[in-house]
Amino acid sequence: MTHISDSQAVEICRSGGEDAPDAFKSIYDRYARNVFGYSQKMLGNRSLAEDAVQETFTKLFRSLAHYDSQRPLKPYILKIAHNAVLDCLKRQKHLKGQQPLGDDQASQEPDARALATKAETKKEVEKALLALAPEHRSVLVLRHVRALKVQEIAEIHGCSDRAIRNRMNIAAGLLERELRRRGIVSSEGQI
Amino acid sequence: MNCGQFQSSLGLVQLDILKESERSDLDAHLKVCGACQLVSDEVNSAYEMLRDMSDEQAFKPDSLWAGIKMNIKKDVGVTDTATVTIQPTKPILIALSCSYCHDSLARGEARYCASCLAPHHSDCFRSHGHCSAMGCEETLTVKPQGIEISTPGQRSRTTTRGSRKFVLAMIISMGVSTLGLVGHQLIQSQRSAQVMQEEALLEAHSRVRELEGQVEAALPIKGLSREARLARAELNRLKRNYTEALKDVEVILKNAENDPGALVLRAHVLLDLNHTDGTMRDLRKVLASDKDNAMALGLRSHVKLLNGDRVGSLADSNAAIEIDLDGYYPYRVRGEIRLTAEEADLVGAEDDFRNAVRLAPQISDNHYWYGRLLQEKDDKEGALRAYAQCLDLDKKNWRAYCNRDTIRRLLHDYDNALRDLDKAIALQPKNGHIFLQRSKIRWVRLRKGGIDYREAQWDDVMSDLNESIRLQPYLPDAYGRRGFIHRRRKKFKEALSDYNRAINLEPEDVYVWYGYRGLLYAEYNESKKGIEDLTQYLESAPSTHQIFNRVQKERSRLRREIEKRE
Repeated sequence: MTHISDSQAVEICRSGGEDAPDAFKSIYDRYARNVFGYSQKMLGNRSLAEDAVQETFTKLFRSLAHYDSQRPLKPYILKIAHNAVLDCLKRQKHLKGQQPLGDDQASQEPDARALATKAETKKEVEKALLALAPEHRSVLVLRHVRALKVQEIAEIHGCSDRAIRNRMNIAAGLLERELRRRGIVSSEGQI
Repeated sequence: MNCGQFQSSLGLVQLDILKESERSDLDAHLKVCGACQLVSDEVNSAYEMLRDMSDEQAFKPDSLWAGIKMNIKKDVGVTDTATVTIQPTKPILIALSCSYCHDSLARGEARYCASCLAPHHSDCFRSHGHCSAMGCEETLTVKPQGIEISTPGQRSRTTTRGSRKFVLAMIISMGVSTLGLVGHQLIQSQRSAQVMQEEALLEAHSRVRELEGQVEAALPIKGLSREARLARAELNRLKRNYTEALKDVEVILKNAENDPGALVLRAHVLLDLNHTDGTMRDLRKVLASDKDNAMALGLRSHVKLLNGDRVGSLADSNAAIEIDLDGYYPYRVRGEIRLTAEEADLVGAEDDFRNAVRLAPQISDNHYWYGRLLQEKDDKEGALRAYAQCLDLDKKNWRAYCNRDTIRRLLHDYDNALRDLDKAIALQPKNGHIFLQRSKIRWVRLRKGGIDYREAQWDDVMSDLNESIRLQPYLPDAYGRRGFIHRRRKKFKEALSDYNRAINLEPEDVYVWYGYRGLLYAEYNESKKGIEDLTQYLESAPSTHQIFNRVQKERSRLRREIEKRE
């Protein structure tokens, strides 16, 4: 069923017939990587990201009855994924008593030697991203990594375009500060 | 604006939300300020790293689908686990076959052994001289009277429980009437009637209990014991009837949510369905209350192996073996660890797989893994035997078909290899790898198997490659091979597009496709591009590669052509 369009697949799922799981599989195949990529960047943990993918698509199936099939499906799915990620962060916070920061302790002070290789630098960059608040992290990931339009991000976050632009401004500044703190970007004094 | 303000807007460039005028100011500043240029490069590089999608590309959506499917099926009402529907039951037929000749037996003609009630044809009983049931040497028979047995057509779905009561009543009445007749016959045989009646009474009760057990097992009614449900669930798991297995497990867990046996079994089912998160959830519950549960440790060991934690996996399987030497599962997992290690420990793995097969010869996967080991040891005949045993026990093991196919291909038994892959595809119609594998066999058969080398024969190969790409668009080999066929058919654009895709997917042997793309360019007189690709090939390819010499010659020819032109 991979050849059917999103709206056709949605209609088949809504009908609840025998073909519904196959139709839903076609939607899943199309967007699972997107959702996983977003969740992975937001949570910094593969296993949690996989949980978020499962939760997202289970919720998506349940909410298809209310979905307006005239609108694009991708932002709708990412909105559900965003909520699933926030729920997951809340659970983690509750469990650990602090903000989850990925597989490693992102709050650790950066080690100058740790920046020796590109892979380690990449890890530090990811930690810098994870150190941001979820709403800032989300706008950066959706805009920069997933290349979404400002309007689409606004729809996902449930706020205005202007608010998203402001949020992106702040997020970029905070990320830059974090990158400087970790020695990935030269601080002004060093230049 | 000063340097600090310019630098703070570098991130906004990456997010593409900087106004046009601000952007041009920044560009102008970067041209003259080396320090800001340096910071700009660093910020760009950091943002580039954020865009890295290697994790996303490594993600396999199919690994999570089973769990999601289970969830959504609950929602659409065709639940795998929640709804227990009563299936129309098969009729229970009693005394339908003769214990001696095993032929069908009309109920009116049946004669029952006076001791064990085994049914016989009267001729069979007479020719045998006594009861043919093992250990029974009774020489007398009885014929129950006044019993009417329902015919299959009389049973209905709604009367399951009623039928059960009826069958039990019939059995008991049969036993009672048997007692009367047994007594009558016994007097005739001048044996002590009282003693024999007592013996016959005991036998009849024992037979009734036995038949009651059969009835219980045959009817899908509620009220089965926990052990019976667990046994049935395990049997269904082995038959890959996961829905049925989960139904029984759910019923047990409804009564006792932390039942370790049921949790372990559900974890096993979920693991079979590749839902490792669900497996771990259940195992955590079991191990929290019983950290020495060998089966749970064995399963956790397997999950860890699947997640790439080989050290943890080995520790768990060792612990499980230490706790229970008779559990087959940890042996098999440890064997897998040893076999799939970078430096495989074939001796250790063989020991483990042998133990697993010895302890549980009825488990098909044990034979499968033993076959894998023998395949690794290049014992083709042994591996074929092991796979045959595996498939004898479980005809749905598509991996065994695929591996047997590989061996058969090596033995040039292409027809049987293709048959194996046809079966594997019937079991896994959405697995692009198997289509690719079948295309390879068809390909080899075309070129080496003496099959008529006509162009139309390539259509089969092409359709397999198309299907493989449709199902799994990340297989460079499939694109490369399709490109090859397009090239044969003089379709330059299609061939080039496929070679490009194969190269863009960056397989380990990417040089092969540079080589073929170079040859394609050479055929269509794109000399410069051809030389570039062929050089790329020659820099990485081993000199033993099949087109190495041809590529060398072709590159020399192209260079000469260019020199002539110049």
